[in-house]
Amino acid sequence: MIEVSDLHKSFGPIRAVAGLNFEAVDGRITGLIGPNGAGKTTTFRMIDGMLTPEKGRILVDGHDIVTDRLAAQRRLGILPDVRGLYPRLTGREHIRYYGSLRGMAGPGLEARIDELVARLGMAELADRRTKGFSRGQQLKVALGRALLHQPRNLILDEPTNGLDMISSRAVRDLLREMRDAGHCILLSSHIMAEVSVLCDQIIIINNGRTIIEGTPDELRAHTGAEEMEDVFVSAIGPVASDGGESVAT
Amino acid sequence: MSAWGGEGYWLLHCWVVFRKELLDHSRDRRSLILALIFPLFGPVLLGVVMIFSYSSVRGQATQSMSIAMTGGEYAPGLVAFLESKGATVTELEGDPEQAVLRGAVPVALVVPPESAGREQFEVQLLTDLTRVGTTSAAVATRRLVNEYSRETAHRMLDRAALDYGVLDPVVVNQIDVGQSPNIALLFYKMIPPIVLFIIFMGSVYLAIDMTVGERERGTLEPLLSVPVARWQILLGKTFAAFAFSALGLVVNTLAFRLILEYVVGRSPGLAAAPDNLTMLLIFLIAIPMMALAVTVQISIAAFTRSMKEAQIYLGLLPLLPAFPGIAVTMAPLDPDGWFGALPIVGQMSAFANLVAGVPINPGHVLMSALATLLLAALCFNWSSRLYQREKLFFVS
Repeated sequence: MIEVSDLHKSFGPIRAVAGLNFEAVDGRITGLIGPNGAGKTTTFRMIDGMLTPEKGRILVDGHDIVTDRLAAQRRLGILPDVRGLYPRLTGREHIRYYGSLRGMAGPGLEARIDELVARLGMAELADRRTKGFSRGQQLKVALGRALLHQPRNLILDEPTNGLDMISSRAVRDLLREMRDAGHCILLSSHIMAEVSVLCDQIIIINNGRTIIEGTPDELRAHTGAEEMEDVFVSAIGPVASDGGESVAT
Repeated sequence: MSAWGGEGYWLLHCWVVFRKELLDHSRDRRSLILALIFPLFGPVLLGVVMIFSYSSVRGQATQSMSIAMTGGEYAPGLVAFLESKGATVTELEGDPEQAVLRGAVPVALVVPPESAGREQFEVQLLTDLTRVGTTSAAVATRRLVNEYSRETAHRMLDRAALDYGVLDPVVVNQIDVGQSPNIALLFYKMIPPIVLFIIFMGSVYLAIDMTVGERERGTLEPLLSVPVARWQILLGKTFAAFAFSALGLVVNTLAFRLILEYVVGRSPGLAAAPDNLTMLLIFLIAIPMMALAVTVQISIAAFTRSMKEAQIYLGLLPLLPAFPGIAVTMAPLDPDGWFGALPIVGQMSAFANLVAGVPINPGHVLMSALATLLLAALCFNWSSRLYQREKLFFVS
């Protein structure tokens, strides 16, 4: 479970996150969506311990990311927006490296890597160096890295961006399985159709603040829009990216 | 906290990062060139220059000396003396000054017409000392003319029934208490600066690639999101950079050993090349220097905003220790002086003594090693602090 309360973060004069509150609970897929510059990536970077909040608190399964960073990170799996692969390592070596750093070793680690390679459709890629990989291929390796240790809490920035239809479906199925197994999944996506079918809870943010949150059905009912894209536009407003006033709170 | 077990697992984490960096960079052409090929350049260059210099010196020593002369007909006694000493005297056509300036002859001896029929006269020795290789010809010609002058003086003194001693009231006998002069020793003095350069260049690419390069690739964020203390990750990277630096120095010292042994073997008379023990001691004494080089490089690379910026700073870095280092090599310090315990200076002083066959001061070597390791630890501590900064994640 990830609890975010009264979160603030600025970069010079820019207020990236300004009093954000939400909870991503276990056994649910929570979508954090918003326009470009809304504060999603900054929020994710504070949750995974890369940035320190100026104010507010983040708890991962009850562990404060600032005061108890390593314990919180043990319970997290991260898919950052920049996938970040070493071009001279193979996909399998990437996943093995992260597994070793997390204390995994031996046949157990190798079996888990094989399982992920099969689930993510990486059989052709796993033993190739990642230099020259397409965005989708890079994403598969980065996903394998994030899922390897079966984290209780998973943070995914655009988890299907660049994937083909078959792979996207495989990832969605995998995420649903993890949700059903009681994992907490927090994701961001600009693909509204995906958000609609995948997320149990949706939090729309803009200018670093929560605009509206609820289940997809609650948001549809609140905004009167049927399609999730219309729900989003209705919530954010036409001048949202310029800091326009929201239509719902 | 246990190194392998317990909560920290710090040694295991270091090992995992170290192993990954070695695997990664063993597949990188630039890292391999810097570690395996680059360290060969200095020894090969030094060996080639030694062979050419030896051939040149040996050639000068064995070939008969040729003296270009103008106005030899005015001093037949001088010409006969020079020829009696084995020199070949040739009459120089045209302007002797131009001939020397053009390099047609190394030196020219000019006897003015008024010297004709006189025992006491003045000659001009025209030289161009900006030309490499003319010094020995100038010295040899002057020596022969001086010999002739002295012989003439003795003849004149005989006629005046005077003792030779009035000509030389004070006689200087120079006794060199140093090693017998040998051209090889001059070249061996070049080993320490080259070793220093290799120490500071061997790991430079790794230091950049593993820090600011990792940030530019976007691999730093996922790496630092694993539940491992950042100093442990940094320590693993530091050891990996150290390993490449050490590999470069092994190649370098081994190449010096083999190439110089070969050169000395084919060039009789050259001073013996530094032996296995000397090169081993140089490598061992260099270990703290490598630790310092790596930690300084990683600190600077972690501080910079881009790989380009890091390359500029780290490209200049070898010059900083090079100045005191080269100064020590060229002007050996008092072995009992306090500066023998300084980082870099102390080690370079030890290197200079080792290649010259002079005993080193073990106390100073130990002190400078400890001082250097302390400085390296401070640099590592600073770079660990840099790894806590948020700015680390922002690419310029």
